[in-house]
Amino acid sequence: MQWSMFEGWLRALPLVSLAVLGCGPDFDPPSELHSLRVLGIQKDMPYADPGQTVHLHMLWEDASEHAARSVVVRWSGPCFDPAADLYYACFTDPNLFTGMTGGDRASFAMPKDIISRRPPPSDAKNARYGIAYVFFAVCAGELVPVPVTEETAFPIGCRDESGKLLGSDDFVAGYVSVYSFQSFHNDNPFVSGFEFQGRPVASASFCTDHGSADADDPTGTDDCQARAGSSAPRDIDCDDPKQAQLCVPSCAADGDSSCPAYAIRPTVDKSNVSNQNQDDVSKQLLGRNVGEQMWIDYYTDAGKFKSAVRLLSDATSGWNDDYGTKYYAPKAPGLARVWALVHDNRGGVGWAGVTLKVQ
Amino acid sequence: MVFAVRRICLLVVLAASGSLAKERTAAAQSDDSSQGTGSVPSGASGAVVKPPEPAPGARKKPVIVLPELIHFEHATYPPAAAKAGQEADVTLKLTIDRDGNVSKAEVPAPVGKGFDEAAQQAALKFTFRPATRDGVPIPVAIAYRYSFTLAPAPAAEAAQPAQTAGNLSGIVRLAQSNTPLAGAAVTFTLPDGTQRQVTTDDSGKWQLANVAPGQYRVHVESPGFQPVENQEEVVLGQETNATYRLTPVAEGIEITVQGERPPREMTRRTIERREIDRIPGTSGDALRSLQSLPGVARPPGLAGFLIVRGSSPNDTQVYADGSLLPLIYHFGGLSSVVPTELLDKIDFYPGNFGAKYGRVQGGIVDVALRSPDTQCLGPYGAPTEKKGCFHGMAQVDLIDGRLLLQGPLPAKNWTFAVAGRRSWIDLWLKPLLERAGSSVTAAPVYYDYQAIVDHKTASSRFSLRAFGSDDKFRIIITDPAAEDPALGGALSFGTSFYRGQMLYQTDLTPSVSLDTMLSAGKNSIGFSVGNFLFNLDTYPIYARSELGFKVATGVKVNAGLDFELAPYEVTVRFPQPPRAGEPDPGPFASKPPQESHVKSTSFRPGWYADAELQPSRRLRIIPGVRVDYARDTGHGDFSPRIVARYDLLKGADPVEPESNARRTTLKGGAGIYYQPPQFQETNPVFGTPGLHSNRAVHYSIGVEQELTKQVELSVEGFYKDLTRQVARAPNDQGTYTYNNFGLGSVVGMELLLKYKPSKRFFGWVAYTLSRSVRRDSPDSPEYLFQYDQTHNLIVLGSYRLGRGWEFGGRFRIVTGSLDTASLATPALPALYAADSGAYTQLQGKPYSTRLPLFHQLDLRVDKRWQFRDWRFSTYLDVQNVYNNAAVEGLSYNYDYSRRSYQTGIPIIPSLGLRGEF
Repeated sequence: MQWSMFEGWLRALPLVSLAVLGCGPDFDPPSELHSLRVLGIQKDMPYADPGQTVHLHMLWEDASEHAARSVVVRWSGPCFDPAADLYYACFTDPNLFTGMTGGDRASFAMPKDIISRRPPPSDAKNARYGIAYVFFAVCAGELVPVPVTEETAFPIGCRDESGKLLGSDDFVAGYVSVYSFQSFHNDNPFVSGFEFQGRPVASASFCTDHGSADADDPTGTDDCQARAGSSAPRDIDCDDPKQAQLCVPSCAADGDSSCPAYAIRPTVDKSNVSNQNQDDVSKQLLGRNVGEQMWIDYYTDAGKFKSAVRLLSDATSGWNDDYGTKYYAPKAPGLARVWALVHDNRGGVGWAGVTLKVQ
Repeated sequence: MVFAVRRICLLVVLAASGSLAKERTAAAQSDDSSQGTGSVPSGASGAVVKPPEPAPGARKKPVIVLPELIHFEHATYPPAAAKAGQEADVTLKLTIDRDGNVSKAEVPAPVGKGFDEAAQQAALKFTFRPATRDGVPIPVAIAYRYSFTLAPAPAAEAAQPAQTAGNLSGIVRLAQSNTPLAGAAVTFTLPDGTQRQVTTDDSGKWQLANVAPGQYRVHVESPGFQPVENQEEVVLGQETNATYRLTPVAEGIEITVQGERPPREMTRRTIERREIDRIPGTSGDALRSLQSLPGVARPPGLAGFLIVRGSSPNDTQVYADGSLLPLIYHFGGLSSVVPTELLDKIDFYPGNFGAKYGRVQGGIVDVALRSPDTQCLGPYGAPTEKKGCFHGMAQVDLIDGRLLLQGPLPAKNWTFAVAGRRSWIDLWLKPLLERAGSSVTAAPVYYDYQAIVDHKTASSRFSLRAFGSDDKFRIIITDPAAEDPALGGALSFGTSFYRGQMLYQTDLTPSVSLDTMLSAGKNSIGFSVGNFLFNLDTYPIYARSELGFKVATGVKVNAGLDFELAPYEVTVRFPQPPRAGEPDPGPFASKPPQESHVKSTSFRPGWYADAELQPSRRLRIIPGVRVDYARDTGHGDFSPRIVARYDLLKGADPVEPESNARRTTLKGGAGIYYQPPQFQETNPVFGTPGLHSNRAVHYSIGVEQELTKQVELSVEGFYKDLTRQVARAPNDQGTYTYNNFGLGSVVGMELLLKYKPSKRFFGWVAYTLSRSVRRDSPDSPEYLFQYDQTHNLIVLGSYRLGRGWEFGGRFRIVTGSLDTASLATPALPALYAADSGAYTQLQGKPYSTRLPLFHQLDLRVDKRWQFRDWRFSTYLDVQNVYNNAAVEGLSYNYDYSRRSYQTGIPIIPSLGLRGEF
């Protein structure tokens, strides 16, 4: 008896070993920001009810050397229930990218029949749901339609003033999905603060955004709104005892692991109800409580991390208290911004940012 | 004292009837091998001869040609015996391998005084033209009498010439063979009533020169043979030439033709024990050696895939004596689940295999477990005839350690073997994984075990086995991969299986054989990461039984059943993963899992029959048919197949043993092969019930050419037409609908230039040229199959230098693997998948990027020390000697805008130590 689909994965384990034992190039890790980047998109309702309006909020950053340039953010209309839930199946809709809306926030209404109009799953134990995709494009130039030849090619390009199509350093496109279940809901992870060098950072020195990001009623600190670097970070007074912990000396090795390591992590209270969500889909399948899978993406525009992605909670083994990472200071003095985006496996995300001073 | 050593004779041969075949030298030898009855001729020395497949009196036996001595080695006359004027006959039991080399020389009844050892030493240097069965070389054991006689002093009268009138000469050979018989006494009764006697020389010849014309009575005798007499006429001025053939009458020595049945497949590639554990680059691992054969593609990286003739790894199945193995390698590629020490041989059928095998559209690997070895060894490993001794082995290398014990059981003809192995990769992999940011809760470890109890007689074999394997691995990944962070956290992996197996092989009657295998056990595969999991427990029962009927001369019919009954329980909780060739659907991170839990019983019975037709000695045709049914799909499959082999030129003709004729064989085959869909493809949640089996039609045609006695060239072209392949298309339900619209084809050529294993050397050059393509439907574009590999050249060899040293090397040069690259500028190479914080690759045409050429040199050195009661050996196997940074895949940065090559393993030395007694 063979289940090749999964056995193939098992057989692929040697390839994992190869990744460990073999040799590959050292690319810059995703945590280091040197270009135009989207760091996260928050939905006020990671699982939306049918008929509900979903608000989307993008956190992005232009960490390129041309940070002052104009950047365009556009959102497509929603694409509901594509074949096999494949995002690229939406590309067959010729009107998907017409009438794109602009700004760091967008919203759309989930159809009331998003669930009922789909055929039910063949096994009733599996949850019935609907899905919506929204595409976006962040462009340091002008967005233009481009001819596509491949099935998955993105039909929008970004060109500069000379008409040249820009690459991924200056153009980020992507998608966000929103699931709708009959009775399942999800909260965004709740990030309450930041800790640096083992101590909490004063509330005035960090920003957080943990959802309910309604355009009309935003929560969190302004620093974390919209473009991450849109407002110049406040300088840090290293002589102020309340801020001194955020000051670190520069390192000649420029962020190398030989530099002094500073413990850093967002404050994520595991007792907070938003951080204790159950994975309802798995719970229904298993007939017992199953936690969410949660992880943290770290980003910085100066310096490096020991680990760019850390496990926060595992569905089976539970909470990982050691979810922080180490920060290595860069060679050049200045302000360094650090973000931590806390994800769960059901489309939820919360984030926090802090500014450090490298002396 | 003048003395000489006289080569005597082969004592016993196949039990064929026919007392004496007297013929004129020029007369063609008739093909009389069919007259064998297996009856026991009696005679003075009264031997009992047991052919392996006793034929009934009325049935035609397989055509068996006995080994022919082509190099005789004179023994050293024991000095003390010579001085004492002692003579002796030493009866040896010689085991002659397929290449005609004497692999063992035993003395069943020692005569002492140094004669036994001298005869043994000489006999081990004999070379034979190998015995054949229906033209195929086979190993045999024969009895051989080596006589030590002192040469008589020259007699004065012998120098006196007789009256010249005519000559009478001839040769004495073995019945049914061209083997000359040396030392036979030829006695002539002259017309005047006087007698004269001569002895045949080393080439079996005799002569009586210058004798008077008239009728001569000729009497030929030799110990162990039925004497013959005949009347010859000497004509004035002419030479009368006669050939006599003697039939053995040996007793007490059993001859077992150890050859295999002729193949019922067009191409069977067998790796012998001599080769299995000496192929460089495999660390002595048996199944890894398969990857050095033509038709087998090099798998990527360390993967243990068997990619046969452009087929998917899932399309090739591996059996252990007919019982399907759920996995071949520990951890997907580290080492075989059945250790080399317990393997007798590996048969590999790359295509056009017989009706015996079904439910598979690629290739077949059938490994045979060996019978426990109880042969006793003398001091310093000297071979002896005695049986009933224990043997043990302990081995360690950098991956694992293993133990083996085998020997006799108290009951007669019962033997046993037990073995076990455990890895210690956990010792070095655990810190490696922890350095990579993982918390290791159960370090990777594997073990396997085997137990065999065997009962063997001349006509039957009964074997009970228990064997199994277990791999475990559990870590907590606290640094999830940025590419898909959901695939982090607790990761556990485990595979295990165990089997109880019974084999029974016997000859029910001289013309009816029975071969039965029954096995039962459990397979388990478990994998979980995060909130995804896959658990499959199967309790497979395999039953195979085949009856072989020798219907008439040249006609044998085999009919069998091949049942697979498998209660199973499977739980799958995963989002739909992509299939090969499909675009990246994005990270799993936020996708809700789907679950299927099924508890059911799979039943797949199969019936087959084939006929081995040999209308002439040159032609062999095997038509066959197979019927399969799969209860899970509700469909049956009918698979007709045929293969044929024709000896365009026969090998060395028995009538003209000195000829240099080399066999040329044409071969071809065509057949239909079905493979049921994978279970997830017909599962209601993940697949579509009611699918039909995948269908492949195999065509192949080839030629085998003996270039020298040791070297053979085989060239074969093949074509596989793949239809009704399971494919799938997205549906509105958010999943996929599976169908049988997939198509494909594989075309290629294989070349094997092989130096057959000899005492000193084995090696081959293997080359495969192939192209494998697929289409998801008749209207969809064709693309290269994931594992397509245009060129694959392998050169390997291993040479015994002497003094226990052996040195080998393997060089491979292979077309690079295929990859699906990201779209290139100006297109965007990836999209940001916001739910996971990772990027989704935007891919170009599937498998359209060919990675650079792969090449690698592996070297191996073995050294063996023989002590009085045990042996110690060690090997150093160095893979990738010149540290080539072979490209195994494409590696990208986080947003796929930059890419580079992922290179394979660097130079890897592997050291092994072994002690055995």
